Amino acid sequence: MTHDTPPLLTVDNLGHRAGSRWLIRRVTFSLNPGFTALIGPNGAGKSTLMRTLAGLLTRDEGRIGSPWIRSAKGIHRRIGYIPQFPGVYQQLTVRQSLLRTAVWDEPTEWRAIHDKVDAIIDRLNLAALADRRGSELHPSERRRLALASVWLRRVLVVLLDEPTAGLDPEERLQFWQDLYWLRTLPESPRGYLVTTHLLAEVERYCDTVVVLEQGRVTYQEPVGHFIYRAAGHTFYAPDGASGPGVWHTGRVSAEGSWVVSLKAAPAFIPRPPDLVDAYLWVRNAGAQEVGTV
Amino acid sequence: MVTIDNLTVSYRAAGPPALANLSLHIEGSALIIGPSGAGKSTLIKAIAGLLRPTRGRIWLDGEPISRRPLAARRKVAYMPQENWLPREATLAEYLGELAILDGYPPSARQRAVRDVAELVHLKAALPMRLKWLSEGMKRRALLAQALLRRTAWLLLDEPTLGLDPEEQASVRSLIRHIAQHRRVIVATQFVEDASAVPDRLLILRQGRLAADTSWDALMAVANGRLTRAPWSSAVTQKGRLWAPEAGGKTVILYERELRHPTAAAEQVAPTHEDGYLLLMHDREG
Repeated sequence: MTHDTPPLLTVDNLGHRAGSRWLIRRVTFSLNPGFTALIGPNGAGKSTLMRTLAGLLTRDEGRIGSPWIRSAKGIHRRIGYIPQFPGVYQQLTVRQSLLRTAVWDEPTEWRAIHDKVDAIIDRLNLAALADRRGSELHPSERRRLALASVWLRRVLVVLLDEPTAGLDPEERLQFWQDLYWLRTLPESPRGYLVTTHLLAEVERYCDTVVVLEQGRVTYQEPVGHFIYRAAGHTFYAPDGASGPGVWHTGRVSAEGSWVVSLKAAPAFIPRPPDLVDAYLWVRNAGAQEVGTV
Repeated sequence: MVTIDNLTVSYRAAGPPALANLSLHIEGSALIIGPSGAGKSTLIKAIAGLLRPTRGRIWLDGEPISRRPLAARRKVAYMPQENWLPREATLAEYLGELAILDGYPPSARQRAVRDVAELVHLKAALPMRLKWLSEGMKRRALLAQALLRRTAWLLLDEPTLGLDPEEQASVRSLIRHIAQHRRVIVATQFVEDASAVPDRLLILRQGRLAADTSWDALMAVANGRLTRAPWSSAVTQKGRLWAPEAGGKTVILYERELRHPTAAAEQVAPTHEDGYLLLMHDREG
């Protein structure tokens, strides 16, 4: 995928520390329009990075810039952050919450605010929820409310921390449908950074992948390019091979176990790589490669 | 064998029951999947003798669990969905005490604890207090305690929840390996977990059995039924199953029937999750 437009955000040598310990450091990447997945092992600092980008944690080093935003101070206002468990106003209905967000963000004529809120309720199919109180909302409904709020705030970029964790397959599909719907709306956020451990959804729905390991970005590239890193190293192992240089992906089919391997063994049958393969490849064999960042 | 006869579990007098008139035999290993609130955890807990059925009966290898729930303790090891662990104990102390309770002879205890910690890649964490473990490590510690028990049955509730992709791969490989010599029942929200227990896939919905199938049959449901179409076509067709696609210009449409390769529409290779989504959609009518 090519990008004719400059990146939405440029993150340059960003660092955040707790005491003397750096949780993320020298994080450099740029966020392009579309959907970017932020992936990496547990404890790599994905949530810390998101919260630093959102301005919730101090930026102890480096800078966050955007060619689309003039004042450096205003940057956090143009970044929306949706945590894994979004908070709600317990006593307000969905419509009241949205009205409140709209008024706070841009005090304007009451009629115009109502029109904006009606529009987003319609476009994100929130009509059935509009009169329910925050306290009655299911976690996935809270996230839909958060998406609507983000649209009202006219942010440039949305950060979503583990939005699909704990959702069942149908709820996950609904979430991605909502996100894609949101993106088609006029004045919708242009860039979406999503953390997830479900690489199948990254492969289907995301344009770009950013890998965070031990507090640093080690890869940033289009999903297809990243998958290609494992090319030539993915096999079916009919007799379930093991040993150094062979990594099991946890999958299996009639042809055998799906493995990623440094070398082809005689019994191995080549198999096209997917994102799980590529991720396991760069995590295990990737030390021999040089990352792109 | 697990035999479930007309099982109903209600948590509240009002409202629909968590499990409704469920009847089922489970011979070998099986995976239970379904939407949130379908009754997956309830079923696992009922088999483990951890809750009293409102109606119906459960036998586990001939033992009437619904009448004598404590009998299940000798037959099943259970990994709960929540990461509840004794916070102040180290992983070695925790597993060591469970080894004593399980009747390991003193000479074998340390070895058993080390082996099981190694299986879940937590050997380096043995001296750590459990409160300092990450959520992914806690998940694996709970899997370790279940593996330590030398029972015929292993009941695992969401074993891969919160795990990163590498941990998911290793836990799935491990479950697959264990299922070769013990019987494992897994409840999960992740269709991909079924690759670890591929022979029997039970899909629950609203406390009832929606499908009794397998990993391969699930894929067969979706074969030839996914086509690619411009984004606008999703907009026009309400009630139709569709998924967005990277780039945003096209969508994947889930067809009601098999589309022959000659059809003008471009075919999309399905995943098992597509099979699951289609199956659930088909059953809704």
